[in-house]
Amino acid sequence: MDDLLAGRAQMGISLAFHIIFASLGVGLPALMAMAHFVALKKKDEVWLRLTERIARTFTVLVVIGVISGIVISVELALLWPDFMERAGPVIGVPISLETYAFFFEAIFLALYLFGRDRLSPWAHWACLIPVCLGGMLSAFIIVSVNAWMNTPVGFDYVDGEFRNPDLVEAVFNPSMPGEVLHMIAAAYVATGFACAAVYGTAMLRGRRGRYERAGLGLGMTLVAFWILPLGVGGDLAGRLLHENQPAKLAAMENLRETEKGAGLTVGGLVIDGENRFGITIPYGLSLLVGRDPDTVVKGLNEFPESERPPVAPVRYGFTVMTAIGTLIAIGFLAYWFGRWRRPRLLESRWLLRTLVACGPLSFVAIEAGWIVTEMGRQPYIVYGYRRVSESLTTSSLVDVMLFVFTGLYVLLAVVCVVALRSELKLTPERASPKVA
Amino acid sequence: MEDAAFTFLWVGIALYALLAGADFGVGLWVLAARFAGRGDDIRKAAFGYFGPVWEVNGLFMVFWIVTLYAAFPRATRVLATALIPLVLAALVMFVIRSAAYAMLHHGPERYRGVSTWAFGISSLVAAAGLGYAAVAPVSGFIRGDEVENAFYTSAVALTAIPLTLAAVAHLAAVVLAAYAAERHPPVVEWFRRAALGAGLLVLPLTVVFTIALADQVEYVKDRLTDPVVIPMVLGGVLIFLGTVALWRRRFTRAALLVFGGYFAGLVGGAFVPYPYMVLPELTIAEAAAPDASLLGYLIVTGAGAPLLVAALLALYHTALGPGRDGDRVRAT
Repeated sequence: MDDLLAGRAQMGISLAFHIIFASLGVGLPALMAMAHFVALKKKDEVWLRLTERIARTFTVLVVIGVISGIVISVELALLWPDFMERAGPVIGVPISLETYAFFFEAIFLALYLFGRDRLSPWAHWACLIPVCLGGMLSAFIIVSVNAWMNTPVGFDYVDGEFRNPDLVEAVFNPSMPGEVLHMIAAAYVATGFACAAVYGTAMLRGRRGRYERAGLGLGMTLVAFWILPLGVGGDLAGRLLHENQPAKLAAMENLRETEKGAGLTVGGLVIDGENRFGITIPYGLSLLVGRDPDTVVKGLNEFPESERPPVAPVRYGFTVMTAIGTLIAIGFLAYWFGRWRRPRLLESRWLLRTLVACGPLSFVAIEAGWIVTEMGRQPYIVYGYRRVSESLTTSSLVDVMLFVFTGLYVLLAVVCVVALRSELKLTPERASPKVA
Repeated sequence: MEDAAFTFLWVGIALYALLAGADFGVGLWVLAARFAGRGDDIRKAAFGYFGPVWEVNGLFMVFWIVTLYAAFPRATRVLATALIPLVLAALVMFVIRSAAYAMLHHGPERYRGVSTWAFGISSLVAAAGLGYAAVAPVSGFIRGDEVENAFYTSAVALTAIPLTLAAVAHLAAVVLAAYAAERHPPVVEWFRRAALGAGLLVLPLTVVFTIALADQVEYVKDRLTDPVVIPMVLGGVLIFLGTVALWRRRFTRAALLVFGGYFAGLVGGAFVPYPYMVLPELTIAEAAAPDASLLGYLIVTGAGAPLLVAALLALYHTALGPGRDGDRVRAT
């Protein structure tokens, strides 16, 4: 395997692994805070058991997430030293701010997990507020840095170096609003569905007590808070792509030629470079990205071959993401319609199965979205300025690193599954939480 | 501004070396506990300390690496390229150690034995690897983006390994003694003796390492008679006073003095090769980011560091100190 492919594969594997834990790290504290709040307010044992269960799960996930996060921070320098050297003056300060957010999240989480017997009940609960804020701020900064790589601004580019950095302009770059809103909302929605899926599974197995219903409702409540921002963020991200990254947008739709009144192709396959078997909605793409059926959308023909992202993975990533997005919207609407008008709907196996499927699928959608974001920027690491191939380390150990790190992620995945199974075998009664 | 950023970098490295170093040392004592009479009690105390703090302590690695990105991007490239084999090896051990701890703390009972061994051995190898790598920038063996092969068998690199192991064992035993005095009184004496023994090892190993470094690097040798070594001497005095406090069973005071001593020694030691960051290839000024980035970094650090210290103290006090109801023993 050539070094560039090995380096890209390693980074892809690392991010694909870490993003699951990072997303749960954003969403689970919110679930814990909501459940614990209800438990304290109502002095309700069921909600306290629920909080305890989520906290136990989170403890394991956080261990694996912190390890993979530390590994990625080192990996970035080991694999892409040229990128870190050149872009460091622009993105280093935001990342150092993110470190503090990460620290506060970890410190207050440790206080929450280990301080139960040492803090008053409400002080104990309040530890979750900085955990939630830290997770959100962390996600904001990291996604903002990624958005900067997509639309780099806030510097003078001289002799291959990013000079005179304007850090505020760099953080609040043109792609930031759409990407940040879409990703943070996706993290909450995916976590909400994961929670709903766990308790939905229990209900499908016949355990339909108050505890399981509370767990399902808790997850779907988190989804309710964030599903609209998810859609708004996605729409905004699409419009910003039209303005700032037309090559990526063209690859997402596999739009070969520039078109006025471009249609939106739903589903289908990319065969011989053409969209096949998809359903095209006339003017759909122009309406979506320009709010006008006559909007001109740039096609791939506008870009030299060497500047085009690989179409198939970007197109398929986008298709998978939007298909799952549609499914989770249906699941969400059906659940809340049931809560509002048709309580019997909540007992139906098809709805429960849909919600259970939405749990893992939400994370598949996040992965697919990141494939779109990252592959869509190719061949650049900093769009329009530095190519990925220019940034790779000169070390001869790149392929060794790929095998070593892949092995480590497999180890971490196994440990995560074994530890989670072991933790969750502990019944809430054994954990014996006390209602204050 | 680059000197201020360099100081923060070394404060971060020193805090990582001390806090995570003590955690690495926990691995040694967990292994040693297998051969001690009160093995279970020792392990319980060791993990009782380790559990609440290890993730946060490990994050100091992210802190100083990110400082390198933000404030010294050129040094990031040089060190990341030159030290790949060592950093890779240390990282592998770091992951194995963390995974082993996750299994020990959260996994099924049947994996406890193998997890304990994996935790202990990987802790020691990771610490040794990091100590080995840490001396490379001052050893004079980094040329361009590469470490000369002679580094790996040089006296300075080889003497860094036992010194690192003795230091992490010392730090861990001192802090575990202080922790056990609050929570696990039956094993306090065991940790006290371990700390005194490890402390005795650190002194001659420091002397041997310093001689090897001075012999290898002329620039460092010349600097050893400068006032720049005063913080290191002060560090030695503090560690000595800490040892006296430990002898007299003043455990908290001993821990503070010993940590303060190592901190002064590490941060002071960083300025011995001044103005070089990678001797003799790269000075601090050459490695530094533009002023706007340094200013941004210093503002973020100036605002964040006090909050971070306050939050850390709250964590250590709450998770490691006496409980709300005066409970003295709490298993994690």
